[in-house]
Amino acid sequence: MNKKLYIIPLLAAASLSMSSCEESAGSIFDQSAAERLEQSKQDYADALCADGGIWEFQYFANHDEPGYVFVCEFTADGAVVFHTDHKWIGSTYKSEKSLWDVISDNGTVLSFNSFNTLFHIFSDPANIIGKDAPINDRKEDIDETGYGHEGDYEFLLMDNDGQSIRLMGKKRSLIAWLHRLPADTDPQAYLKSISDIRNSFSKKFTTLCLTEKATGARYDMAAFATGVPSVVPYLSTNPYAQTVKGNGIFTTEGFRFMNPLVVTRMDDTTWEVSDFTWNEEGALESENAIISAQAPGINLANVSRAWTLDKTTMSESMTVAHDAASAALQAAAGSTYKLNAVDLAFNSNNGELLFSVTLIVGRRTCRDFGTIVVNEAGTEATIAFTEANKASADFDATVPEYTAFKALFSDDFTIENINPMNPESIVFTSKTNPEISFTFINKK
Amino acid sequence: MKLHKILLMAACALSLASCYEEELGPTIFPTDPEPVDPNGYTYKFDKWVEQNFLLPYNLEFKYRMEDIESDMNYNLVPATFDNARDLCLLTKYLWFDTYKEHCGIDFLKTYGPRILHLIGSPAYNPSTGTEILGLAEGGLKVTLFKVNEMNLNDINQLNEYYFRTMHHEFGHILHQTKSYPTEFNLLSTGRYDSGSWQSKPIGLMASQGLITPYASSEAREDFAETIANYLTRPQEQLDLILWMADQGWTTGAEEEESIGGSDSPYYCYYYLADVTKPEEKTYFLTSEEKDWTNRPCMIGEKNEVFYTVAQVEAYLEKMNTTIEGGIFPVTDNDQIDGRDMILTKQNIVRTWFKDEWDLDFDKLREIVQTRQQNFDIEALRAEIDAVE
Repeated sequence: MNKKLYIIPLLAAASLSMSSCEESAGSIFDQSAAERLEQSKQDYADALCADGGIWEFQYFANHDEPGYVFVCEFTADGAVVFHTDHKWIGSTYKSEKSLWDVISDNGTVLSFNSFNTLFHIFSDPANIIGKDAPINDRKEDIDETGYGHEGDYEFLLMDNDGQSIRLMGKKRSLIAWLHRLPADTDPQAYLKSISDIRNSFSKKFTTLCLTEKATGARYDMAAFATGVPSVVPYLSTNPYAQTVKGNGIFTTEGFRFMNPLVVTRMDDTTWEVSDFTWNEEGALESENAIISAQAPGINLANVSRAWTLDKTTMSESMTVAHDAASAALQAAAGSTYKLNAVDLAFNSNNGELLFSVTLIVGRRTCRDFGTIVVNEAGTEATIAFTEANKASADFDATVPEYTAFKALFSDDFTIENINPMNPESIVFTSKTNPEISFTFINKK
Repeated sequence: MKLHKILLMAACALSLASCYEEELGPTIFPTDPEPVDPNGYTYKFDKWVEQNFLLPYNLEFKYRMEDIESDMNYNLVPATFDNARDLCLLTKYLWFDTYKEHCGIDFLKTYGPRILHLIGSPAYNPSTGTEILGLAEGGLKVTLFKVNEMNLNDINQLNEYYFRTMHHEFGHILHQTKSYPTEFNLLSTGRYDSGSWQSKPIGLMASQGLITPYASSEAREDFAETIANYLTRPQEQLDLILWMADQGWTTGAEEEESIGGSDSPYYCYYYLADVTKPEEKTYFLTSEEKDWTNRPCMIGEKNEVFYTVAQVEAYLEKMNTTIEGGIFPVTDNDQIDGRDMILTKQNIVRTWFKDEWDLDFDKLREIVQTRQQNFDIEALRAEIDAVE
């Protein structure tokens, strides 16, 4: 027994003595760790300044704000010019020079190490002020003194494929990107192209639609234009369905969430959305989802909305009928009885809220009440009249051209948003006579 | 049995000895200091820093933010290049050249910090509502904060945030190198309160022999504040603080007299609105460590601001003649002669400077005051422009 006890530690010690001097590092790396770090610094510094040194910098300060785009011009003398037009500097284009360096830290780190008003505002610990400053539940300004936006200004350089460099904030660990731009890029024009995208979204229809390609399920996506959208399960009957919120960034390519947004389906399974690019139709599309405006039928059926006919976009047949009605009305009732406008809205008729078509003739309001029925996809609508007010009935009795023109609105239509991301203009095309088409523009 | 033991010991010895290293090869780290890049955007400034700080004082002037040099728990930002450059010039002119003029270059060569680090923002401490303006670490490093708010046209702001901070932090380096007399620590024993110094008014603290509220945080800060305030404050500010030290202070609630820490203001004068009711006193005249002009001041009943002793005394004389029954000073019942205490502390520093450092505290103040009042930033910037 004793012998066995001695033999075991003897064998262990012997094996330890034989294995303890095994060398491995030398056979893996040609250079020492310090030399490799120096080389990495040099490689990144060279890459940043190469080919004009102009980069699009996609930056997130924290989890609650949208991402911000800068155009950065790196030069080998250690200077960098930041260009931007973000809201914290008044949404106007500005540029400013400061310093940069690639340093050794806990890895190879890009440090913007002298203060730049346009960029370091996101790291400054001073209280956030301005109309967009955060407020509490009682609408009072929150004092962030000591914190500010809490954004990073030093970034670990994670990887570089020549055209894009992935960075990670040193303190907050948020991912940022540098994408190389052509040397002749005009920073102001480039930034304007992105702000134009941000500004193209409707201020009235702030909720867009997220459609899962695989299932066709649709989800309300609120406040998309802010860059921090919330996704609410569409037509959910699940009382536990979670609304999820994530911040993202608008670029010339599309929209990218900082981190993939995990959305819960009706059956409690989940799916993720992340990077969206513009598709041919002008909607934002990813591998598994599409972001677009709500289907036009949903907005037409909304009792709080009102629409007016855009006379400049009527089809030829429609224009002929319109002009004939207007001329006939003037001939019958006097020169002031021109057909001025056509509106769609829900209006009260004897205490009942009904869909209606209103023709403004001179100063008279001629209204026909009826119904609008839209299909489930919101892409088709059927309008029918059931009752006319006295002004409309009077013209029906005396001006047949008026009645004929009015009847063009009582039909089966295919309906479509002109801008797939902005539902303020809807094109109606008659299903019974495709030569009849017109556009209604949202009034409220 | 013995054989087993020997074998076991031999095997163990073998296993321990088998990793004995051969002689070390050359270091894997770069050994030569990085030369200043002549093509760099900041070349002239970097060269000036090398010539004026690194070579003569072995001091690395870090004006580019390095957060590993700072407390990572704070949210901080770098200094702007322009402000860092100007503060660097002023640091040399008002601190290093001051000592050089007084006692030659070797003093700061020997005792000066080895790293000076500039940070653009203050280091806010949201939980206490305080901000750090400067730090001295281990006698080697001084950090100056709030560089981005520097206003070269406001001497009081420069004094408040930078010059006084420099001398305060260097005071720490000096006493971290050679201890100051323990007698100093005993003078205000029981008056130090590191938790709530920020809520105490300067007048009340002065009357207790503490030259600023921060001096009341702990003895070593009191020591550094005594140095820095004496060297950097103009005479009229020192005189006003000593005048405050002569007063008695109260919130009006008897039990709070001379304690401090109350959110209520402390007053040093009162009058009787109704002379038939001596118990109903109307208090007035409060102190402020600094107003928007960054100067210590007294605030009158109708928010009048006074920066000098003469202004305060004229105001009190006017009040005394216009108010029926006259005005009265609050009784100073803290059992401390604040003026004498502050002057005693200055004397301890004066003696310590002389005995331990062979420095003349008063001569040093004279040089600092002259330089503070007469610096020409354009001329200093020209030194950088002249670098080839």
